[in-house]
Amino acid sequence: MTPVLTIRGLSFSYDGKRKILNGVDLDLNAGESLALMGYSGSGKTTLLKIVAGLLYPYEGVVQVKAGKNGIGYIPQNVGLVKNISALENVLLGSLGRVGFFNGLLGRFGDEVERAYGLLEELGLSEHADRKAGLLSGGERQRVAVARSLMQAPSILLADEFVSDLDVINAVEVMKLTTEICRRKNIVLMMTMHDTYLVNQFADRVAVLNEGKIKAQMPAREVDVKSLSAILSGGKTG
Amino acid sequence: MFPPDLSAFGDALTALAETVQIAFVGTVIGFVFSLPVSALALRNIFPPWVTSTVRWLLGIVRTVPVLFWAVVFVIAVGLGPLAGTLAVAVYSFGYLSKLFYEAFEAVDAEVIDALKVTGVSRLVLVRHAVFSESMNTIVSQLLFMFEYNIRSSAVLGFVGAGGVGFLMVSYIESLSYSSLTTVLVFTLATVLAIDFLSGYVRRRFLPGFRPASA
Repeated sequence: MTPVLTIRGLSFSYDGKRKILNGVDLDLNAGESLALMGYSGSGKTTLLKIVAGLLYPYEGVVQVKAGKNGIGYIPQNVGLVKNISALENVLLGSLGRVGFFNGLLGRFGDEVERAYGLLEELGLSEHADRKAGLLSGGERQRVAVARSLMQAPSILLADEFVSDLDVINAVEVMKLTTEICRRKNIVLMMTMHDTYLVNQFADRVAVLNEGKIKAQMPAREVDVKSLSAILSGGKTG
Repeated sequence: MFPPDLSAFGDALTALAETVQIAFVGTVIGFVFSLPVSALALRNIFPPWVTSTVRWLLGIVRTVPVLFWAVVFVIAVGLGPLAGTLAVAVYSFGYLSKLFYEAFEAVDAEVIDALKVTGVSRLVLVRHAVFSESMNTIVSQLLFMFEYNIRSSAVLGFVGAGGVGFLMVSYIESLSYSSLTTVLVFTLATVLAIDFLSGYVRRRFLPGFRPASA
């Protein structure tokens, strides 16, 4: 199987001195969900932003087998526009598909029906017209997922997107997101800290430390003990 | 100066109406031009050569006081409210642009990042991420500019640019101080009324406003 995402020898520095990423190699196949784990500040968010095309220049190769605008990105605080409704936020995900003038004038045509469909799929139909700023944390995360799915992405990047939620909401959002990604054959690459959620919802784990992928393993094998051992230098892979 | 000469009421009302019109139309024109130009000054969206040029030009516009713009436009288009309106428009353009780009750059970077990945163009990004997210600030600063322009328009008549200032000068020159008092009282009442009105609009339409408890 040809990977959807191939990363080889990826290095990046914000200040030109300290390398936050220093030779990252990673492959992801269609429909696979990968949890990136590691200390805060280890470069997980940086890696996602580079794959999303938000950070450059970098050294190395990032090869994405995806169509135009085929990468969805959910930032840590989801990045919704608070003054507009949930539906309008979801529609923003299709801005790259509707063309310049339609985008400028806010004319979304058939995309509106798709947006309603995604909101329904994510259990948000009744909140479609509510302003994003008035939604609960879990609802906001689901709106952000719907917005990314409007791009019809091959890869969905999610940066600690359930870390602010209570465990019940976190499980619900993760369940919905991973199910949809598996069904639509979307690569899900997420940064996470919670080993329980990783065990439950990811297929594979990559542990990032000192700018490199220190270990990769099936997600069900990860626990705090093994993670600590890897991060303290006990295991590489 | 006392008591005020109430026979000046009619003239004062007409001149004040003209002042409010100058301030209103000038603010609207300034606003229409400042919105797109301030977007071009956003360093997180446009390249440095664009943002630096725009900021430099806006700096020049802002440096010139409104009264000087009024003199320039009186020379250019003649005496009267048109010169005043153009002066207020240019002044508002300079100030609103500055206020807007400062506010726009404070928009959450994550909102911009989330939309950048959709492959959207810069202008569409500004329209949907920056303007939408800053709508409350835009309205708030627009109201502030209008209030400010009411006050500054009141003196534009001193240089012949229309409005109540012209009436004040003519009463001063003819030593009609009781009539001048009437004009000043009505000017004060108008400024207070506009302040009250804009305060109401803020409370009614801008979320997050909570009056302090006693």
